[in-house]
Amino acid sequence: MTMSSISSLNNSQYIGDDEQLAEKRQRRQLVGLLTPGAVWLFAFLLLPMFVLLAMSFNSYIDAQIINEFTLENYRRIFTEPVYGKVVLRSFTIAITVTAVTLLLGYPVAHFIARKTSKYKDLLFLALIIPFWTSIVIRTYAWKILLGNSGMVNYLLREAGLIDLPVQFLFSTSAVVVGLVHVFLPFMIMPLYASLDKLDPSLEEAASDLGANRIRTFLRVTLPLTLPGVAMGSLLVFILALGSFLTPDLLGGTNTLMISNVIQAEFLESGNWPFGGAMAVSFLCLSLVFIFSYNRLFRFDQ
Amino acid sequence: MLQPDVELTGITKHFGSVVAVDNVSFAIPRGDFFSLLGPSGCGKTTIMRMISGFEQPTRGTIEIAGQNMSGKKPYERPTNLVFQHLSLFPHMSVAQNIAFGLEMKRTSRTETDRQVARMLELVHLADYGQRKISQLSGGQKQRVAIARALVNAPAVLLLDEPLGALDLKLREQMQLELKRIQREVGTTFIYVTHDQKEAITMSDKIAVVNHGRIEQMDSAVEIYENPKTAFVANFIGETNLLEGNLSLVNGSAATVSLPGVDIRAALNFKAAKGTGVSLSVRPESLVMGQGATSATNRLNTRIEDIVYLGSMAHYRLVSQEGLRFTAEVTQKAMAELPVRGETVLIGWEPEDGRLFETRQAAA
Amino acid sequence: MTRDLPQRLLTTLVYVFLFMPIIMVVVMSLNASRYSVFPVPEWSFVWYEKALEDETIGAALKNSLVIALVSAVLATIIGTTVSIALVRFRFRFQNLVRSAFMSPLIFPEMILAVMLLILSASLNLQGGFWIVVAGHVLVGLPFVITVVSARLHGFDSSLEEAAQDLGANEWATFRRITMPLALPGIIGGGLLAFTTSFDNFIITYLVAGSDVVTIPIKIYSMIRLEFSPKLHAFSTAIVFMTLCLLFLYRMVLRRQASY
Repeated sequence: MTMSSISSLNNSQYIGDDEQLAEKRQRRQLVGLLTPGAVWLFAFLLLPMFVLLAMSFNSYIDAQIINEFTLENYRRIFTEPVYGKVVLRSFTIAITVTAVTLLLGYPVAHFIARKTSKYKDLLFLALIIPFWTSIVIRTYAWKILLGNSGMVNYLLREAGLIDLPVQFLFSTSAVVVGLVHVFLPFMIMPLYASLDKLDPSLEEAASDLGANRIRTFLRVTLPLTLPGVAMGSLLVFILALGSFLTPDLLGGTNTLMISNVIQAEFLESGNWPFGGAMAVSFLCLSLVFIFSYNRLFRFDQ
Repeated sequence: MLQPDVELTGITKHFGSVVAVDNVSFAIPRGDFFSLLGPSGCGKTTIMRMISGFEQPTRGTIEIAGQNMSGKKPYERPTNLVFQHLSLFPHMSVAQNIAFGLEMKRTSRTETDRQVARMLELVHLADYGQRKISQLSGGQKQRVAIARALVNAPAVLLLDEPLGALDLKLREQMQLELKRIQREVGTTFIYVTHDQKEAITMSDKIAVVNHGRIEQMDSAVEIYENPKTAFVANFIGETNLLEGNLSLVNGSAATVSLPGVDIRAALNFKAAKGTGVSLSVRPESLVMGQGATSATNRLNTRIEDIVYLGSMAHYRLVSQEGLRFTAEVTQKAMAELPVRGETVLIGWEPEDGRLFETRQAAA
Repeated sequence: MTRDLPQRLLTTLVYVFLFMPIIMVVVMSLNASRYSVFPVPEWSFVWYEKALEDETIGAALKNSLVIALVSAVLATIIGTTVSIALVRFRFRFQNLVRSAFMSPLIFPEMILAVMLLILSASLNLQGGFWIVVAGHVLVGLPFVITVVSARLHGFDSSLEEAAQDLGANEWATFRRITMPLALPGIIGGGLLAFTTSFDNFIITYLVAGSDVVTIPIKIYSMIRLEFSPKLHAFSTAIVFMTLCLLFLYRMVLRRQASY
């Protein structure tokens, strides 16, 4: 298997017989390699998308899914105010989480990137450990920490700041804290990659030319690490927007996010058509967002 | 003549709309050290890859040891290649690398070991069998690559600019090594390079490649002394190349009119008066100062620069009409000559100047 | 040095923030009290014993391991073939193909889960093992492809050409050259796929029927329904297992592909 080109035979340049044979052979190999993956994607990504789309147009009457075309589901999504509220709330939480992780993550990534390789490795490893730990475990751990008889309340009481335990759980703040915890590594890693690639002599050159730390940061470091910032922000935003477990465990009924609502329709209400319509809408929203984001920042993954 | 070992007939290669190799034909006698010489992108590497089987020609046939190679994959051909970056297998030892080709032929264990040992001896790496590739120096890796290819007793060994990564002294050493090995083993070597000094030092025959075509294929001496085109004259060694028109044609002698002077030169192709030509004169053929007064072609020039090269020097000269020359003199002769900025007479004989048709001057 | 102090402080706080919940779980697993109160009144291993005795936990562990193993193997095979196609070949729509395989990373997982649920219902599968595996492979593929592609990039195709030149056909070249050199990447990718499958919640939650309970599902139901400090004990065990996998992963990928 060499670096092979499957050229387009439409080019109508003379192609020799031997060349044609060789090219056919490469083509066969390529098809063979891509077939398993293509089959998998088709069966479990493409096909389900169509099935989902079809479901979203079905009717739900008397607790039964009827195979009758209707736009009722979409009408409900766009007209009933409660869903708009959910979307708005989800956006707000996602943006907050993105901003917080960026503000916290950037200096940390910068700090690690500037360290000598021994510490850098160790610190990076330490970052990966929470990343690899199951999200369920990490999230429920916050329940313990933020609970009425948990550590945070205990520390606050010991410090004399409060008398009675504060209800941290089942609030938007708890959800934000939980999400920040989950997504910090997701933000720090691309930032770190970007900062690591940055030649430190550039910052040195800037200060040699008279820029103080802030100006160096604004005029040199930040612009050059913008791809990392953009990538990390997009990732965290989209993932936070679609989060389920954290709002489910740490939030209350007034912190329901998009995924919670979808899940409820499927597993509790049984109204699959409506759930499907919500899922499709959410998917479109995400795709629109990703595409316009890419356009804005013009970068390939 | 003995049956040629490698014969290319009408080989053409298109990549999309780009013609990389254009109707190339040549034959290499068995046991020759043959070089494909040319600048980057001239098509020599493509020719080499077609011989080894990594590319298929668009047109034409390749015969190796009398067999047509059409459609044959690299592992079906009696060729072996020493790659430009060596491509030694990093996860295998020196001995395992060398043994690889034999293993593919299902050679017995004992026979493989014997052959590997013989090869290591040949390349002067007798005790290095168990070493890891990462532990070797550049020159040692080079020799392992050669051993790995040669152990398979190919009909043809191809070498793709193998010495490029080595420093000068090591490169010169390896050149001698390669010649020695080739002489001992007797295999036909095809050596691909852009370094004309290297090609001249090592080869029995050289094919000069330019824009996918072979400009000239000859022995090293012939190519240097009797270049057939202006490109070859310019690419091999150094030369002074001047453009002019034929003002007089007299059999195998001609007069070229250049700005400010008429030059007598040797003409070895049919041309009419008025044809545009390139005149090539080697720097070492130019005589300066006293000796030039009796030369047939004479010209007054000003010394623009003197480049000192150790045992000799290059004088950069320019005539009143703006013709530029480089003349080569030995260090001893420098004493008799004027200094920078002064004028000096230069001269040469008609037989030292070769003429080429101008359209071949594109390099 | 003092210039660095705010950054140092912030970094320390951030790391504390990141590790605190995990440490809390470990601490609580040794908390004898039934109600997870802080500070810890009494230290004990009792909940570990109780967790070991719990059959449902054992069953969930077995399910998780089997599903993760099958998913990892499938994801690795498919991911490796796709990686070879993407790195060693050049063809039209290459970027599109790569994006398509990477897309599960950026898809909100709930949507993937819902899609698979509807699919399995329309095929009349009662949830179950294979649809869960299908989903896990889908989300594991991007990881395998990333790691294996990186590995393949690390040694160039002229090594494979050299093998062919020396007489190895396509299969022998793959067996003797490509595979051994890519192996650390393949194993690393497999470990990643294993871990993502093991930890997967959303897809599993939606799609698995009542008879396929995995560790994350079990943890969730213990939080929601039958809270017991057994949870802390076996969560700690899971965290420990994850750490071992992580170290294994790093060891495997330490080997160099090129010289």
